[in-house]
Amino acid sequence: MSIGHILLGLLTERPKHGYELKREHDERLPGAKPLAYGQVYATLQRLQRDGKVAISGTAQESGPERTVYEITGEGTADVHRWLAEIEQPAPFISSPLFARVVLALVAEGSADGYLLRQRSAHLERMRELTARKSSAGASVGELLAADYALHHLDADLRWMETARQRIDELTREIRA
Amino acid sequence: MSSLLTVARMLSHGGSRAERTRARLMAAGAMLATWFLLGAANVLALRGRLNEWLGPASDPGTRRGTALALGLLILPVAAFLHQVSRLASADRERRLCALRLAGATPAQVRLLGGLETTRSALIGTVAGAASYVLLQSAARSLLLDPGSPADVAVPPLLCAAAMAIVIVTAAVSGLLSGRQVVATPLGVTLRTARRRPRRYVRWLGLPAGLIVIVVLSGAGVLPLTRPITTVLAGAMLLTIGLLLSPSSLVRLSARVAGGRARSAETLLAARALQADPRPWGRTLSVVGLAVTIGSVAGWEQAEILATRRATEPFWLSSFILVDLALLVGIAVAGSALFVHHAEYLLENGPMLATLQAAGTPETALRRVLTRQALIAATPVCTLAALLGVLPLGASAAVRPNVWYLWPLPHALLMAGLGVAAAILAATCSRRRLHRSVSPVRLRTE
Amino acid sequence: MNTLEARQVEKAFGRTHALRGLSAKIEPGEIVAITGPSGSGKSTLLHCLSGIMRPETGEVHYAGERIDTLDEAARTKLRREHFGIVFQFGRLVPELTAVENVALPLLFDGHGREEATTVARAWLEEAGAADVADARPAELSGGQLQRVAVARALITSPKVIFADEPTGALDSVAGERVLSLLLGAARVNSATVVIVTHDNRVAAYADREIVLRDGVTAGEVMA
Repeated sequence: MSIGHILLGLLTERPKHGYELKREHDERLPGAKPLAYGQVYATLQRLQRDGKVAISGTAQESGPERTVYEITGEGTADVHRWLAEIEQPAPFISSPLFARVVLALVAEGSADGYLLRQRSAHLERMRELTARKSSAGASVGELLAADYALHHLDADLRWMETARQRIDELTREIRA
Repeated sequence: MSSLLTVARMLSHGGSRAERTRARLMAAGAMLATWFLLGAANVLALRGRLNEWLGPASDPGTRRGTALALGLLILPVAAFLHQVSRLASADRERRLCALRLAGATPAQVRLLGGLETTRSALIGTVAGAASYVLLQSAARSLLLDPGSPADVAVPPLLCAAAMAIVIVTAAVSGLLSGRQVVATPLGVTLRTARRRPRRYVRWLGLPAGLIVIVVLSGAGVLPLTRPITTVLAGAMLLTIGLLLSPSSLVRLSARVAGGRARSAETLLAARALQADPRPWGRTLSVVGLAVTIGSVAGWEQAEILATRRATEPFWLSSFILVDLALLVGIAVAGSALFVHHAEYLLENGPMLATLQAAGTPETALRRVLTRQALIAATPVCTLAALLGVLPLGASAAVRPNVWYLWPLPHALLMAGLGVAAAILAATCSRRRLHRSVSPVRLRTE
Repeated sequence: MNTLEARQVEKAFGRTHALRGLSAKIEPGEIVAITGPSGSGKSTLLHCLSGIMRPETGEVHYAGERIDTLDEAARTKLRREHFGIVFQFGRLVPELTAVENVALPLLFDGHGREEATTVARAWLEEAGAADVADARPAELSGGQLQRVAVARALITSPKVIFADEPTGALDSVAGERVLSLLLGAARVNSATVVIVTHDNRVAAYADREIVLRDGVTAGEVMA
């Protein structure tokens, strides 16, 4: 996933200026890391250089004059090419969670305490997300974002439970 | 074939508790059937006049009728066996499907089903025949003086025939019972939807009623020339029609009771009956038959008491023996209801346990069972008793006599016995109910 | 105060020990999830807390009264009057319509049929299942079954609602609806809710979780 593709995707609706793009990114992908304006600007310039967007004019609302960008035919083709691809399913296990469990075993001989603490932290975060989801006036984007996060946290928790059971079994085998 | 026998043996070892119970009950039913058939054969084999206290079996003229009556006792046993074969049918069907999945052909599965019932029937028949011969020879040496010319031994040929009838019937019914499941080896049972009774079955009552009336009037019991008897004949037709489709009678009664139910118990009972009236209908048609015969017998008793004022041993023991036979018939049919309760509880255990967990007292659930019995049995037994006393009106009008009042309480007694048998079956199911609603049944399966 | 408490509760089924000296306390109005791997004793704890089962040793208290020593009749009465119980798969009476199923607790309590049916219809409406009021369980989807079951549990306005895997057989969205219905109604009545679940996302609806492992708590985690 690249910011270029996201900006191109947002531009398929209609021409937009840089600030608008930043705002829409943050709104439509709630919970994602907010985009810095400088990053938007740099990306747009790169896309313009590659011929995927073009300047269509300027707009002035209540602030400074802003450059409006529109997507080119090549840009549209690029977006659809990108959407036709799939995301590489987790090629590396780079979770700090996993590292901590292994190192807790190495350094402390047991991951039980850590797993329990982590479970409570995870569940606390899930409670927050659930509360946000249940609150009146949650937008579709917010609901989807909360569901996304909840499913991932849930997957973590289930892995942690499996890890605990595996470690238990191994310990019992070694002792026996 | 021998490998199939091995599989059958393996299966019989691994059966569930309910399935073992079914096998035992089937054997018991086969034993009863054997007793009655051997009894009938035994009566047919008697020669010469015997002690009057043997009732209708003592006189050569009434022996055929007696044998027929004993043979008729097979009916309640058949109802009982049919109910037993439905017990744990879910377990059985699951197993047959699994066998298909494991590569058995439909024919093999059918054969296995047949082997199961044949095995139970074989055990029951052999036990029945052995116990009959034993008891009979014991009774003979106790009751008859050695010098008597009467030969009351069971003829071996008839005995073998009776046993063969029971075993073959069991084998055939076992072969047939698997026919709905063998079609698919899928884990999910694909039971072909239970067919509603064909339309013409409902009209069977009409000709059957006509035949009964013609026979009765032919016997001079029902003089059709009088207007009152024409009305009576109409009423009889209706009653017979209803009795021949007892399932619809039960369903009707349940619908009325369900519509008017003021308590949860009655509602639950009525709706359960309405959803599945057939086992009740089947069993109660046998009970109803016994009640009707009982009522007619009461009338017969009155007739004899009135004309002969007789208390001769022949008639007395005849009366007692007929009533006893009816009682046995009702009792056997009642145990079929008991088996039906077992199946109902087996199927609905988790649901009932949930009700109990939600705060429904077990006594209320017990009342559900008793009310089912009341709702189903009362109309059937009442109608059956009514049918039995209808001729009374006609003949009482012809020859008024104080003895003609006797059939009324007798019919009432018979109807009461029928209802009581149903209620007794419900009462006997209490322990099973208690087990079904145990919290253990709540554990998610 | 309707505090629910288990003290050193032990329960065994044959040779398997479901609970081994477990203690837990649930305050009034709390929403508590009981979680843990299968076989950890979750359901058994729920059965003991709700008076469905009696523990072999230990005590169970509700509203300042010891309930594990009460006889079956008294516990049945307690469950009917104070508790509402929802199970997986609804477990409705197959022969009765949805509205009759919901009306059952009131009927068993001696209310008239018309009154009970009216109240039941109102609860079905509340549960968003008014359109299936006259359908029988076999005609309902899993989600609808569960809503009817929830309506049946709520009809007596219970002080404590026990739910054993209430969303176990449902997909996420249908499960969510059932949960919000259950918890919404509980909040309105300030009822206590005890949910047994193996689903962490369901547990996230609770204020607090009690994690069970091999029949004891693995540490209570406060919100």
